[in-house]
Amino acid sequence: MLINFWATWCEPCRDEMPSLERLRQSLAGRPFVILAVNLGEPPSRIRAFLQRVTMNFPVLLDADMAAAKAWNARILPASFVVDADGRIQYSIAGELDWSAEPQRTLIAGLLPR
Amino acid sequence: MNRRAFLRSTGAAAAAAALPWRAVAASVGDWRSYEVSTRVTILDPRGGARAWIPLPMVDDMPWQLALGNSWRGNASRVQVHADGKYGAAILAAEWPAGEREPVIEVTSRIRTRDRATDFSRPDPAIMRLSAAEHAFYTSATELIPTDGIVKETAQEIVRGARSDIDKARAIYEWVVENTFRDPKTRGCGWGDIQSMLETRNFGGKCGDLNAMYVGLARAAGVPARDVYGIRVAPSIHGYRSLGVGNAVVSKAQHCRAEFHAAGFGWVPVDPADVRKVMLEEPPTHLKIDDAKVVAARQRLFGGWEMNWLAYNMAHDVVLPGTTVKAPKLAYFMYVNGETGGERLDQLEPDSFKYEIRATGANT
Repeated sequence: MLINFWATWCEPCRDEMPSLERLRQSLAGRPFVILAVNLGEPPSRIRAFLQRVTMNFPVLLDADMAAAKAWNARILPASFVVDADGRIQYSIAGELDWSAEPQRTLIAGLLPR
Repeated sequence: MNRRAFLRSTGAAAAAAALPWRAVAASVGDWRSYEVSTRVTILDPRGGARAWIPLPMVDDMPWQLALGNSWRGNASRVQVHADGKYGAAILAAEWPAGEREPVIEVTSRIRTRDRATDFSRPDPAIMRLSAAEHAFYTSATELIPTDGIVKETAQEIVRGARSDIDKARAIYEWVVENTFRDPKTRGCGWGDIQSMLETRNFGGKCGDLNAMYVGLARAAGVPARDVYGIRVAPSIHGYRSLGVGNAVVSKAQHCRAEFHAAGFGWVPVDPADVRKVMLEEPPTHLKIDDAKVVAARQRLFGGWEMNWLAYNMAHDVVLPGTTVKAPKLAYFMYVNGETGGERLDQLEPDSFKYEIRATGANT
């Protein structure tokens, strides 16, 4: 599982989204999900953003930002790669091309066979 | 608040400049959103570089909410640290040797709303601080001792005052009447209050004047703390000197103060801004009985206009990961940097530059 904390006002978050979608597509059929957790923005704004950007993975609303605080997501985007046992294997504060081969290989290596 | 409304309120502030502390109903209880971007460039990197950027206060306050931070740039490593004693949020960026133009831009979003204290209505549910908290907020820092001349001065000022509110007010009036804003002070001043009292040179800026307030309050047994931040918008109460006139706010750092009292909790004060109004508010060099000064003096004991972002309340800060032997920072309100084994001058940077921009936002 990849948990990505983001906001529409965060430019690096916006730039990163297409690479998350490409990663999802490249691992389609594998036991892998992406959860995009939005920090405290109104649903109307998120819906407007989703009309412009393709994101075929769930968007969760962290309305009071309690989840972001609990995960210590102070810098956006903040991403956490969680393995099948629920352990955080990797975390990163900042933008990344998730569809690049090193990241894809790393995540694929964590997936149960 | 959208950009359009933000610009409108700016115009309203200009139109109201002749009135003392213009009442603006929209500011009471209304949240306003701001986006603040800090862009740092190390101009002459030698053997790698580091930069430290203050982030908005992490803890949610009834008057400020941190909505998030993001960064862009070519740093090889970026981490958020919490100062161990005070919890100040510090973004630390690193660049390896060979990076020709280290650059990072950090964007933060916050919401703020104005603070005002009704001293006629104490809330019985708000208790005194715990013994540990009381001890923490009445203790000395490296530049703010609470013994010797500081204690003697504080005792003289609060003589006859019984409650913490009375003591806090007596100290406020003393700072307003005895200090002055010295425009020649570098940055915001470092708050060496013992030297100020010993030399009886009471000139300085917010880092000196409000540190004087905090030191005297602590020495009088009233819990108090400095709050370090930056102005991000014009004053909608008509005070040109208490806001920023355009989006570039690189030199708009400003610190304030709070004291704690049972029934009221943390109470905002800002005697340094009273002296700023006297010096800078048009037509400038106002007398202490000028209507604008009187109104500001009344408002700034118990109230803050939140056209300002609070970073932290930290003293004696050690920059995480620093490789340079340097004294602790009296406070962490400015961007800091180092390269070539040297700390860069945070107040008048010549080998690095930073620009901070603030705008109203829609969130």
